[in-house]
Amino acid sequence: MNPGPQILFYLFGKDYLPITDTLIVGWVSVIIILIGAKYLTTSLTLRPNGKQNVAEFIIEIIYKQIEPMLPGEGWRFLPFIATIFIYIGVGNLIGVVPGVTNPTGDLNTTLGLALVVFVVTQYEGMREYGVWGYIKGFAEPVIFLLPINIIGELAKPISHSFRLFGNIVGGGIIITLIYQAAPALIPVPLHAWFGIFVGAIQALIFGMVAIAYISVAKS
Amino acid sequence: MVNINTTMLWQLLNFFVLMFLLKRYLYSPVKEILDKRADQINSDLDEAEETRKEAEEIKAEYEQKLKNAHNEAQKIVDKAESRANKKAKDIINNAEEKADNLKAKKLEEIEQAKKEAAAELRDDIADYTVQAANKLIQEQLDENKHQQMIMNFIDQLDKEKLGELQ
Repeated sequence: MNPGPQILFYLFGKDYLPITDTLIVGWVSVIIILIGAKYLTTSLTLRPNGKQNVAEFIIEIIYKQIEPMLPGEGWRFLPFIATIFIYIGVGNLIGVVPGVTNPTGDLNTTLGLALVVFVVTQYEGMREYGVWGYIKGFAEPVIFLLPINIIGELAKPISHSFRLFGNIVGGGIIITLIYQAAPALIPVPLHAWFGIFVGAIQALIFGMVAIAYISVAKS
Repeated sequence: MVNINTTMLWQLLNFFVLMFLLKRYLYSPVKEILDKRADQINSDLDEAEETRKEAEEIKAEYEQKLKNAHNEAQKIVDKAESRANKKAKDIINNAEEKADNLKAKKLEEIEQAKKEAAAELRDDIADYTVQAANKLIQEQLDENKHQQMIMNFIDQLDKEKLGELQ
């Protein structure tokens, strides 16, 4: 038993550009999402039909999460936040298919996304208060809180990425253990629990926390 | 199990490509259609409001026109009534005048007839009186002198209004 990403082969010879199963599932997720998006948005009309309603529902429900936290900038942040929701959501849920590894069960995915959120957060903070104004904000309310504030800020992407990674990998390990220990009947509902419920919840948390970080930096 | 390698870059590439493509194929079209619908609803509501206002104006206008028409009709009726009254009065006045004229004329005629009758009666009475006097006194008087005498007598009667023939 070896949980976590497995290196399947190397692009460009040995030891260069390892291609893992999580990466391949990631590509598959991207293709599934794009096909779904393309399917839902063909023939958009002013009077929506069934699949257009689904597309509008998804966009609006994500928009309604962003707008209260970042007033007036819902549509500006929507592509970024909605892509996080959708990519992580699909990445989590695709693990329900037996034998498929979650792309979010790879720290490279979650840390990568968390770092992007971190960079966006810093950028938005500096955009709001100016570079110096934003940096000065770390020394408030008193100067000797500066190191603590900086550590707190740097801990954000780590906690952000490890929360998702840990939940998904932990779920995967528990399921693998139970598959080995118990007959096939018990793991199925458990697999559904970790795959669907925890997956959906963690995607929601990851996205909401990203919104919260940006919102905090701007306030 | 936990190692950080180039997969992170691949995953980030995945993420950004997905973001770019979803923006193009999902977010932008959906936002566009939502905005369009919102605009359409707004303009429809504005239009409805405008149409309602217009309808109200037209209604007020027609009500005013109707009121004017009523007033005019009333005026015409009043005018006709007063004209009719005046005409009726004229007709009655004319008739009364005519009747008065006729009455006066008839009275005059009666008066005339009365006068004529009185004159005739006077002549007749004179004749009869002469004849009666002739018979009564059997005097041989000149008839002309006699006539004269009687005429004088009658004239005197007239003057004293004893005959009441006038």
